[in-house]
Amino acid sequence: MNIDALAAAVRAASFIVMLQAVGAAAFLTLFAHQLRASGAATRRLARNASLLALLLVALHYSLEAARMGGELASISDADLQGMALRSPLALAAGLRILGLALIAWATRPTALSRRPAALGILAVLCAFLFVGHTANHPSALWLRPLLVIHVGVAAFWFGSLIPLILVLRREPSVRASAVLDAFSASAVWLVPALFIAGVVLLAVLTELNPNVLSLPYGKILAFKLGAFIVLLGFAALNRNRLAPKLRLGYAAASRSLIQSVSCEIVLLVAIIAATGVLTALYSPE
Amino acid sequence: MKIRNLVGFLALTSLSMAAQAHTHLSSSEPADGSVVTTAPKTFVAHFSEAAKVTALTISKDGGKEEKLAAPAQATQHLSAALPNLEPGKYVLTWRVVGDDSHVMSGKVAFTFDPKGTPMAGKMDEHKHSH
Repeated sequence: MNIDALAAAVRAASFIVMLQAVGAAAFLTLFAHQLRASGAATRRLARNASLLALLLVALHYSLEAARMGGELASISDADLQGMALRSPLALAAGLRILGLALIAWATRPTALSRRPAALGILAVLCAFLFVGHTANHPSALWLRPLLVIHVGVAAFWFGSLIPLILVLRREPSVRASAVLDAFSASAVWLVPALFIAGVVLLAVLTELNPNVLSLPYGKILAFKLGAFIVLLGFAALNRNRLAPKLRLGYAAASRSLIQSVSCEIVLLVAIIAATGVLTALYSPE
Repeated sequence: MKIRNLVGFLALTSLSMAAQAHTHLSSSEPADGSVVTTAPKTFVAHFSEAAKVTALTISKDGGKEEKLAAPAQATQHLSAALPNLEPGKYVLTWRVVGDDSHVMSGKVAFTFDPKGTPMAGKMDEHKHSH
């Protein structure tokens, strides 16, 4: 078994589910007061995603020893597990697990607890301060916050899409339109922040070396670029064409929006999965 | 055209997780792709920075991998004893963990042929995986 491929796959899955949990929790923190028919289902989504993500994060962490040893059997190697425990990976995994547990508790069926949800979101995002390629850079002091912004906005965008579908399916069109407008108003400034943070990070860490584009790393980035451009197209369609129709009460607008948002989900899953594989297996060197 | 390329590159970097330098193999003896006429007694590797060797194996002609003893401490210059080698093609596989906690791995392939022509091989620093 190719242990690197297995670890990359688990990493990618953990990223997807973790960002779903964080994003859904953020959506609830901001918009729960506007939800009626879709509130319980959105809480269930956040809770289930956080519990699944918790398991995937734990599994991904435990596979580090296997990656060090080059074989799955190394997962039971005490020395290698000790190495992993002494590395920043353990702190990051611990923060993610703590954060996801907080989110799961905050979104329990009986009530939504905003403050624990916010703390849980913060804990998951802060984990990115301690691992990854920015953590050891000489300019880590300001690169790390940029990474947190980048990942945080991506989580909010991605994690809010299924809740938006739930809103479109279950809420009356007037309320659905209001929630969609509120989300769109935040996205207008959040998406540029995500883009700028990503640009600055890559510009600093790769020194804008165009040779990167010829490497597997660069090819995956090219795929992400294409997917991101298409993603922006769907977002623009939603904001400028479909949301106004929903506001005016067009019967088919809700269905069209659900289809469009579903396409955004597919693209973002692909982008996040590509990021997980990219950071697990490749570098720009 | 230059502005468009810059914009294109900047757009390319959106949603990216940027990477920085990782530990990689600078050189080795035997070198990758080399042909040696005398059985090497040790494998010597020079890494770009100190790293903890977590796995080191050697296999002959695609056969079963044999584990080699690796130093307990992180090191930039590795010297590992090799078993008595018979003529054939060998692949030495290494894994290290750098200060950045990233696991890097790579392979060094060489041929032991007492009757062959010695070949230095070439060190391709990019023949490793993250």
